Amino acid sequence: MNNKHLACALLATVIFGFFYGAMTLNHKWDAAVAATDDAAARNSMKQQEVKYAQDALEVARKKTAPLRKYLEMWKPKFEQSGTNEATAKNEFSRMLKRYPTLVQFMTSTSSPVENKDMGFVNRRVSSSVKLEGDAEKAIQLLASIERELPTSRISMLEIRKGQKGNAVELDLSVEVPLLASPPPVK
Amino acid sequence: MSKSNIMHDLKSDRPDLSPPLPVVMMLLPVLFYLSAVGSVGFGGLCLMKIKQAQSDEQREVDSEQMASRTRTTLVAEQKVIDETHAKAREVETWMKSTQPLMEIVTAVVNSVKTGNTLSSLRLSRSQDKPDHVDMRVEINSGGTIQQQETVQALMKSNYQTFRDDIISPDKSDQRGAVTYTTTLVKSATIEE
Repeated sequence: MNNKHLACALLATVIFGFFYGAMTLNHKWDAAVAATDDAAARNSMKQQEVKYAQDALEVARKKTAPLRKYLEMWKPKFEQSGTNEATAKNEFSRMLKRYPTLVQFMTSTSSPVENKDMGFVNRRVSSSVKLEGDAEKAIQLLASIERELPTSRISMLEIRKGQKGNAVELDLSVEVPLLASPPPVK
Repeated sequence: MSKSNIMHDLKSDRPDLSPPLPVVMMLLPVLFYLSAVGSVGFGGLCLMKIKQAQSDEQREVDSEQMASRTRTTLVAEQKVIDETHAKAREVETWMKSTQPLMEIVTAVVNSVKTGNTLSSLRLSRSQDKPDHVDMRVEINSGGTIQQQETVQALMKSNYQTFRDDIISPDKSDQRGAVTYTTTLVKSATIEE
């Protein structure tokens, strides 16, 4: 190989180098554009998901607003009876003590019973009492329970004629709801 | 100096051994230089476009991440709303089952006509359907006439009776003692 051949080979190498460099950069450009397009597509999809989530949230907000307001209204009353049976029992006892003329024969409170298919108002305790006294006072007691313990429900009541003229015997069972205990704080 | 010397500017002066290349071959070095400059220019353009594409990609990725965070927040909020809604439904269900019994007691007591007497009134809620109230009235005197008065009074208070039954030896006793049992349901249409 003489000098001319060497020069030609060198020139060819330089030309190939230019070509190769240009092609490599072109490929990198294409790859970068493709990556940008992919990122744009992913971003567009994510933006769409955000829009769907926003729409769903807006619908849920509007649809559930009355019921959530209803919950806000009643929640303090439910929290009044608390999460344990002692609090619920006290509420009922306090009510009975306001009617001292009604003689109590027997009171009992059951263990909490689970409310079927409920996770929040998940239990209830039932307090039973047998009373005797003035009919008017007995009716007042019933009215007070339903007015002042609005979340409780009278599950059973029986009014019978009492021994004296205006007296009645009243058997009463009242169920008080208990809320699920909050998860323990770690 | 002739034009053909341009082709030999790298060579030292020496006597020509062969005839010079045709003039058209002058294009070769020109094309070479142009392609060299073009390659460098194209490379520069590519680098610039790559930088721009990378910058665009980064912007898209940032936007996607922000959207992802926004979505996570929205989903969390949706979860809170769903949980609150579920709680609210439970509270609503419970409250529907606590409809006051005082209305029934008042309606029954007020329905008792002069001369008639009741010996007992029992109300209990059904375990499965607490909004259904089982009622048992022992009428001491007044018979079926008083029973009908009681039913009328309950209907006026928007209660519907079903599974009615009269327990007594003579079910058509219009004056004597009868025991009336029924299940009461608050009329939803009138309530609304």
